[in-house]
Amino acid sequence: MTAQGFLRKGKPLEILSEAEIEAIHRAALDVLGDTGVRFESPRALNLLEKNGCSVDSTINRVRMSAGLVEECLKQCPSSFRLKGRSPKTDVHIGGNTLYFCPSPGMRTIDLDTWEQRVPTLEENHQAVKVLDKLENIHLAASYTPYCELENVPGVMLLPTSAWSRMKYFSKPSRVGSSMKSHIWEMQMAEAVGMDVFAAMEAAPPLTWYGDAIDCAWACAERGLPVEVGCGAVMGGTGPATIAGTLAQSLAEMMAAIVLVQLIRPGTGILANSFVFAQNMITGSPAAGGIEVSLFQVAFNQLWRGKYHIPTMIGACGPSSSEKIDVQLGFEKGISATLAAVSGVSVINIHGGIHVELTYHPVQSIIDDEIAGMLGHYVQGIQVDNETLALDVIRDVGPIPGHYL
Amino acid sequence: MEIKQTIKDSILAYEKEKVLEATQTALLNGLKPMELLDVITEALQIVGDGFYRGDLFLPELIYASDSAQAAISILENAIKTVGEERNQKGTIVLGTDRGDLHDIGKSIVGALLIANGYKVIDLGTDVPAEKLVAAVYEYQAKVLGLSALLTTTAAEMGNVIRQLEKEGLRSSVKVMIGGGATNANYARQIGADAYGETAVDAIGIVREMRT
Repeated sequence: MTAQGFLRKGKPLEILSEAEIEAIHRAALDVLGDTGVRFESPRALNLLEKNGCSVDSTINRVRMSAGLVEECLKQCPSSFRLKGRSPKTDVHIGGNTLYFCPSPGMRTIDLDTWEQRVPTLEENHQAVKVLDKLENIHLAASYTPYCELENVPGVMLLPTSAWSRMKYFSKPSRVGSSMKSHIWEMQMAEAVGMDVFAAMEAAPPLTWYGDAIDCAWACAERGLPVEVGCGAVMGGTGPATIAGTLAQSLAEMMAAIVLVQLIRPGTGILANSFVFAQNMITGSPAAGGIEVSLFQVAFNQLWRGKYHIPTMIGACGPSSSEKIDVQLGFEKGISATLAAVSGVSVINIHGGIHVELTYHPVQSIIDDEIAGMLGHYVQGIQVDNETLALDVIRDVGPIPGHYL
Repeated sequence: MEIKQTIKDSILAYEKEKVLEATQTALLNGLKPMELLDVITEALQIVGDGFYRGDLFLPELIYASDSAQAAISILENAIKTVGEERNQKGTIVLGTDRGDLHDIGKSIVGALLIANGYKVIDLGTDVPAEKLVAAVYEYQAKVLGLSALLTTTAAEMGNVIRQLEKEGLRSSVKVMIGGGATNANYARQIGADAYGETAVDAIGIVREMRT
C-alpha cells in the first residue's frame, strides 16, 4: 500500500522532436567529453579516475566517455519506493504517478504588510502540521517549510527543521546537504523508521561541491535514493538559450549520476529542475516566466522519455511576486499545470511565495486545492457504459427534461 | 584625440580587444595615463546612465566594465611607473561569506561599481572574515560589501563586523550587505550600515556613503 498520488492517464505533453532530443543528448555528452565537469571532492575524483574518467587534478576537472555515461544512465531504476511513517504514507516514485511536495522558503511573511519575518520554531511546527494534514502532499523537500528559525543557530537550522518534520510529518523527506546535516537527518529517519533521500544539487556552471557529493555518497551507500538537481539561471550561470541550458544541465546531472552509480549501482535517481531565467535588469532569478516552463517541459520529456528516470520540478512553487496575489497565482498555476501535463513525477508547489525566500501556510492550503485540481486533470476522463449515461439521456430526453 | 575616441567608442561597442589595443597605442604615443583614465570613466558613465535608464541590460554592463577594467589595469601600471596619483572615487572590497559559494550577485554589484568609477577589490566566494578585514586594511577601503545567499552563512556577516571592530577598523569603513539571506532588519541587527535588495541599490548606497 502506498500514498495514492494521481495516476496519469494519457500521453504526456512533448515539445521536442526526436532529432532535438538526440541533439541535446549529444551536446551534453560533448560537454562531458570535451569541457568536463569540476568535482570538489578528492574521493569522487579517485573513484571517477579508477573507472576510466580523465581527471585533471590540478583543476579538479573530470572528462568522461559517452559509453560510461550511457551505461550508468541505464543502471538507474525507472521507479523507487520511499517509506513513510506508515504504509499509507509510503510513495512509489516513477511510472505514471504524480505526487506533490511543498516548496520551502527561508522566512515567513506578514499577510497584512507583506514584510518578511524570521519564524519561530513553534510556527515551523504549526506549518509542518498543516502540511501533514493536507491531502495532496505526499513527500517533503529539504528544510521544509522554513530554513531560518528564530533563536536557532545557523549550524542547527537544518537538523532542527528535520526534527520538526520527523515529529509532525508522516511522509518521507529529502535531507539537507549543507554542513553535513544529512548525517543527523539520516539517523533521525532511521530512528523513526522512515526513508529519506539525498539532495545532490549542482553549482552551475558544471561544478559539484563537496557538500552535495558527501550527501549523495552517504545516502547511496545506505541504499537510499538521490535527487540530482540542476539549478542554472539562464543567462547568468547557464547559457541564455533554453537549449544551451538544457545541454549544460544534462551534462552536470549525468556527471553526478555516473558518480552515484559508481558508488552503488542501481541507486534510485530523481532528476530535479530548479532552473530559472535571469532578470537582466536586476540580476535576480525570474521565477514564473514562461521560458522556465519551456525548460521544464523539455526537461520532463528528456529524463522521463529518453532516460526513463523520474523527474521533480522544484521550480514550480516559487514566483517573482512578493505577495499572495494575481501574479503569484498565474505564475505558479501555469508552471505547475505544464509540469503536470508533461509527465513529471513530483511537483514542488505548496506554500512557496517569493523565489525560495518566503513561505506561508495559508499559501500551502491554497496550493493544495490547485494540486487536487491538477491531479484530477491528469487522471483524465473515465469513459465506459456507465459514464456515457445513455440510459439517463434516454430517460430525460429533450426540454422540458433535465438532470437535476 | 582620435585614439582617445577609439578607446571610448570601443568600450561602448563592448570590444575588449580593441579597447586594450587602443590603450596600449595611446600610451606608446605618449598620452598620459591619467587622461586616458578620464576617457574610460566618461565611457563607463555613459554605460551606467544607459543602464539606469533601462536602455542597457546586465550583459552590456558586464562587457563594458570588463573591457574598462582590463584597460585600467594597464593604465594603473603606467601610473605607478610615472609616479602619478590616480584620482578615484574610493576603494570597495567585496566578498561572499565563508561557507557560501554563490558568486554572481556579488559580481554584478562589482561590475556596477566599476562602471561607476569605483575601484573594486573582489575577493570572490567563501571568504574568511580575516581575509576580508585584511583587505579593508591593505586597500584602505571606504566600503566593504558582503554577500550571502544562504541563511546558514549570513551569520558570518556579524562576525566580520566584530572582527573589524576588534582590529580598530570599523570607524573607517562602511559595511553594506546584500544577497537572498539578508534584509534591512538583518543589517540593523548585525550593525551593518546599509542593505541593498538588488545589485542596482548598491550604487545608490555607495553614493550616499560619499566615498
